[in-house]
Amino acid sequence: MKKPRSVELDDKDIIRLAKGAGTPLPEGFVERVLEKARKISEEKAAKRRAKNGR
Amino acid sequence: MLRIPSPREDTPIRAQSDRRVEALKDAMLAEGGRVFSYLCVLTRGDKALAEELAMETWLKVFNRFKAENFKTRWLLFWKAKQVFVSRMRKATTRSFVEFRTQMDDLPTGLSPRDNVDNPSESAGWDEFWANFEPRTFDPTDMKCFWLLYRYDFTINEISSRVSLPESTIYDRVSKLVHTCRKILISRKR
Repeated sequence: MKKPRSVELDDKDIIRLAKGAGTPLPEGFVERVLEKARKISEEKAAKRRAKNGR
Repeated sequence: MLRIPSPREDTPIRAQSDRRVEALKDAMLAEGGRVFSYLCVLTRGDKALAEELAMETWLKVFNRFKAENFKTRWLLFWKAKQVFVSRMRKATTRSFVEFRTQMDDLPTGLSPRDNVDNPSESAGWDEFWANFEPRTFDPTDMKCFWLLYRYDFTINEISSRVSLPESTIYDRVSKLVHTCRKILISRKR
């Protein structure tokens, strides 16, 4: 199987950081991510509970 | 025989996951803007795609990183780039050339030159240089770098602004970029 190519940060990424600096996060972004994270967390917890037989 | 539970076993699963979610929230409030703006540039200003990729990045961070690494900047940027590159490799269609009849329709860049003296630009300046704290740089080098890459001034134009030879500006900015990259990837925070 072919090994996936690795991704590294280079000098151009510093320029990209400078170009984009100061862009505000979209409205409600944090809440949307947290909602999904909670779902993932609950699924993982359910799996662990099932594995532990609780 | 009495068995002493390990701290991990002893902690209720629910509380543990709640702590991770809280840590993610803290990290997003502190570093979310940086990751999103970096992705905006990678996607050439496509904010919808950048938002989607930023969400994917944070969920991967949540799934795979330890909570104490949620705020590790170089890891976040590296993960964001990885998510972007993976998406581009999977894409079967490529962007195509758009034809326009009116020049006014052309979208403007993220930071046009007109913004050079705009007070709101100081937020971008502060956010960018904070990436390398506590390290400080020569103010002239910082200014040259900013004019060259943030506002797309030519080296010739910068030379007349800061009264330095073009070759000096080129050398100093190159060195600065290289140093910034080294700092970003070598430090944990």
